[in-house]
Amino acid sequence: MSPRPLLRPGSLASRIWLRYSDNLPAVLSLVLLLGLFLIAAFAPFLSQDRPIYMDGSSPLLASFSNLDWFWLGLATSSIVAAITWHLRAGKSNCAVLVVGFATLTMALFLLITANSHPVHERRRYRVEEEERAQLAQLDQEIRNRNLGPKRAVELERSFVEDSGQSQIVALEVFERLAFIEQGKFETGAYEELVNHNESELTSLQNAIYPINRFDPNLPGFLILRGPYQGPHTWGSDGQGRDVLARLIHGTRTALTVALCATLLIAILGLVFGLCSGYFGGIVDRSLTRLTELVLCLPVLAIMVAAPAWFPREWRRSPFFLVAFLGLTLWPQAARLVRGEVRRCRQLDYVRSAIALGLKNHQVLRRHIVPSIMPPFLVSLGLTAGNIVLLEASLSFLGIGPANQPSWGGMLAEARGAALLGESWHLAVFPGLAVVLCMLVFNVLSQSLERAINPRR
Amino acid sequence: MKIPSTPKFSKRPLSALGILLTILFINFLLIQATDTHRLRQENLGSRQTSPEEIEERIAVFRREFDLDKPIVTRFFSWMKKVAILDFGHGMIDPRPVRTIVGEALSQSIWLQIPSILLFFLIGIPLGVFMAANAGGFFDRILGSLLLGAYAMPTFWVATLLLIYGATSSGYDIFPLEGLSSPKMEGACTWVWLKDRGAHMVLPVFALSLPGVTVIARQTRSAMLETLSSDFILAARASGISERRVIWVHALRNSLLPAATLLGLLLPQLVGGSVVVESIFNVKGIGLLLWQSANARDFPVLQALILLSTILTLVGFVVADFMATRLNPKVSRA
Repeated sequence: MSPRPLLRPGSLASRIWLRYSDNLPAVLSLVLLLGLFLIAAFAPFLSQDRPIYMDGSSPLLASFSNLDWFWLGLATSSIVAAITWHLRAGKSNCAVLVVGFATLTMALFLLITANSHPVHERRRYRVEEEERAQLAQLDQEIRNRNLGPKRAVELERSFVEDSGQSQIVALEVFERLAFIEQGKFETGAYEELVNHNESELTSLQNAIYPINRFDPNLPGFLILRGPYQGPHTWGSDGQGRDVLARLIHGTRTALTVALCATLLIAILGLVFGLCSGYFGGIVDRSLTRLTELVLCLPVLAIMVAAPAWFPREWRRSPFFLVAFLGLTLWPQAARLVRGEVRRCRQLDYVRSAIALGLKNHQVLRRHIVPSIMPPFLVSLGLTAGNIVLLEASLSFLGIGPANQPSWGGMLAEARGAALLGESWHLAVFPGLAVVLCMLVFNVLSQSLERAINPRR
Repeated sequence: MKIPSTPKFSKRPLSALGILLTILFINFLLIQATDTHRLRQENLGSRQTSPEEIEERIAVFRREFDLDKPIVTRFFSWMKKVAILDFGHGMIDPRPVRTIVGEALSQSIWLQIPSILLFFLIGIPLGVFMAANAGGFFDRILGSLLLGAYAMPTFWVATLLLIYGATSSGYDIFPLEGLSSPKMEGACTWVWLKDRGAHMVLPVFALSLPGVTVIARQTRSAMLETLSSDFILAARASGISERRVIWVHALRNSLLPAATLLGLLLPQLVGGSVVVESIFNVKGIGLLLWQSANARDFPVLQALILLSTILTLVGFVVADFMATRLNPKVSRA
């Protein structure tokens, strides 16, 4: 294979890219979209209460869900694609970028697969020096035995509620104070507990942690704290879960649903639109009827009503959501493709290609698909934005992935919590995230359209 | 933010009829596919309805939809019932479905009609104003504001309105939920209207925001296209005032997208208001849909799905009709 740059100079794609990259908001939205995807792909590395790496093991991998594996699979396949690309094509800036991103993913992937064995729950956490000092002080007090149940409750409050300790220290305090409250303070058992925990905490000295040290689903002791009140940077919700962690993992939910549903819509729309526009006749007529029928289905109403006909678990399954969105939203894409294909088919170069006796799949692949791609991508960008919005609305109503934080679900919880008082951050942050995502997709497809048709 | 293309039913009225028949058939299948066993299981030990009541209602449901008879008999008896709008009795609320849906519809109308009116009364003038000042300061400011408003999810706006408009504002101008205060039954018309208006402000605002942004942006781009055409140049050259050129000559030719949208907004009567109605606790169609989906109230669900699909179809036909009236070229193309 002869070396070939990513974008051949003078080709349609390279001209569109030149016009597109000239537009500041367009490039900005592209960068933001890439950033959102990076956040989604590396969510467990950004926010998780387990260390990424600690002497000889990686506790993260033990807790990986299907979604984590999906993203890792995506990242790995992008590596393979980038490397093949790099080998086949000549060097170009874009390819270098993709390879850089891919190498980073590969490194992290190797890091977590190389050292995977389950660890004791306790060893996942890190305790700051300051917190260790406080624990030692508590220890001293317990050992001096000048600690009645009343003093224990006071200490509990001063540790957990007032100073805003991290969850593990709070647990530790509870566990030690329980000895006193139950009135069965035996030096032997207490010593054993403390020594055991201390040794485990010491083994965490050299661990590497995510930036935000909270799990999105783990309830905590600090309820409804505002941003920068206590250890939660962006506050905590009604169950004491970290808002930032939930936002980061919610990005992953939103983008996974948007990506999968858009892919499904793209495939269905492309196949039906190409068949209908290229072959015409009875194929066209029957497919058009089908398209019109599906177009007449009210998407939101059906999405809300449909789970009644299926088992209750399906209501909370991401695959159900993706399948339903894909199966109800494809007609718009199919109509667009059909129109474009019919327009292309009249053009001289396509007619001459057919007259030359090229096979149908050759004409479609070489001459028709490349020229319908730009407008198709524009409409897919809009669709992806709409899907983010639909996913948020549906999870607001309780339809969508369970056990996985989502922006819509966070807002639904915020509605209940907001009536309690000062918890503006619960309603504002997830909403802003949806707005950002929608804006990115819309600006992206709008400026792509402008780059394709500069005259408008 | 493109207007979705609508099927051209004016050229093929028969195809609309075919779709209607298919929709009816799908609805018939929906009733056949109900799983009463699951309903029975889920109802055991939950909610206010006792197992005996549920058994009784399932029996009524099976009798009403002739689920014990052969499928051909079922189909014809179902068709007969649908023709006279008889959808049986609800499973949670044992009244006839027609009454339940009618009651909810009478609540939804109070939100939907004003918000659809607002779409056009605010959206179109806004779009025309922006197009008249195209490229100017106000156009750019309004343009980015509208893009921001378009990106805001309705349920977020509604939640924020509920939190900051209704609860913590400290004034009692906007009540928290429902469409009327308790004890409003015997009040005089003026007081009742005032109360209803206060209840309507927040939900109607939340419902109309996305539509207003879409219509304003569509009208703006359509106006820009019209204003650059030759007949506008001719109208200006013949000395017609600029205001008349814009609001009469150009506007009439730029109404096509807004008119199409009117048709597309009809089905919103059912689906679009689920979120807003559930936030503001308005007992309308949307909330009814959500509650019956949660409780598996199949007769009500079937009626609602049929209603919203038919509304979508009618919306397409209306959009198509408007398009051909406004621009006869459409029907010939």
